[in-house]
Amino acid sequence: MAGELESSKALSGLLNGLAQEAFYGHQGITEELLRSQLYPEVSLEEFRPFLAKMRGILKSIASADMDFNQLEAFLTAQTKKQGGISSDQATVISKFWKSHKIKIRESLVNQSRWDSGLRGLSWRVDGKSQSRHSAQIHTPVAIMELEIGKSGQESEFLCLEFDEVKVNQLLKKLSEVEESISTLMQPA
Amino acid sequence: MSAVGTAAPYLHYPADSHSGRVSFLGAQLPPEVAAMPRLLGDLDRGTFRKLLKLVVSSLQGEDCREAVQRLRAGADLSEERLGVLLAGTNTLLQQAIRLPPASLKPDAFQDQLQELCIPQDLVTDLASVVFGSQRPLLNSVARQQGAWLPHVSRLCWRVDVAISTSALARSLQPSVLMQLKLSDGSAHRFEIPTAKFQELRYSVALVLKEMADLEKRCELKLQA
Repeated sequence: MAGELESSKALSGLLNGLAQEAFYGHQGITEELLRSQLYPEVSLEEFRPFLAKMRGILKSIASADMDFNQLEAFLTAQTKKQGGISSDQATVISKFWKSHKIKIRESLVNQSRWDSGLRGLSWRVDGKSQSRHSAQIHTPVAIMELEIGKSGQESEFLCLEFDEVKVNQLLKKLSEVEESISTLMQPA
Repeated sequence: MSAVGTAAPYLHYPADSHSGRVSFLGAQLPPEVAAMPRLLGDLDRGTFRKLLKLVVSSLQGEDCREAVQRLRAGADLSEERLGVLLAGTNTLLQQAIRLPPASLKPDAFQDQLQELCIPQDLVTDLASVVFGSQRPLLNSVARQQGAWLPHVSRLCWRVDVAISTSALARSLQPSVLMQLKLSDGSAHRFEIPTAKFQELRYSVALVLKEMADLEKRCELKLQA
């Protein structure tokens, strides 16, 4: 039985399944599904604590967004623990985290975004030539379409018009924002 | 002005004018302008000047309803006659202001009004509005009245850094919150993730460059 639980390929699959359910929001990945697909020879009674252990380890790593030094220290400690993991299992977990770290972090950050977010931007520059009130205008005008939406909901499209002055003002404000972010994120 | 009566202005085909060009009022004379000349002959000049002042205020975006009532009461004008004069004067001025000075010169303007049988002293008054000191203001009001998509009237921003969340013990993720107030009165608030923010900034810079290039190209075309 222990032999089956040692299988690297199966563990890799298990971690993927756990990530899908915990981080990427896929429904329907049950305990039974994982067992039957990856560890068919293992009983549910034996599988359950094993699954809980792996789930716990993965959640700790993801929640702390561990870098590779922290990861190594953490996994080494787990191998030394009573009822912990084997070094082969540690290797599989380490490999999994290295390839999924960024994507999982992105997904976790999104879980705490509840307001509408900017999803996309399209733009066009037109040359205004005439209107009912003016025969010759010849000014460039920018039209921007902002796609805004909340997680899981349909987008709203905002269509806005800007003359050159307004585009300049917008760019200036965005530069102020950029400077603010850079200052904040500078290492202490 | 005599036997032909009100039909007279319609017989002035644009091509008949000695310059041979199309009138600033267009190929077909607007009916409200056509109806004016017969009402102007015996109109008190002071009344006309008041009326003109009223129309100019309206073109500058002011609410002139009360002023119209006062004018009607004070000048003893029938509602119908006042209506024709207001509409005609308004159209006449609007059409003239629509064209840049290079396209419609004072002489041409005055000639064309005379061809419509508008009395000379009133032509002078109208010309002083179109080519006088008020013109820049009338131009800027006309520009603002053009067809618009909503534009941004106010932009406020905030940078937040999420320290910790229920999903991430140590987040330290900056996020930009933006609030836009638009010219149509609506307000929109949304978050901009860091990657999208960079994309936005790049796009806006590119838009500005494209606008500057387009303006240069238009200038060159006008000069050519």
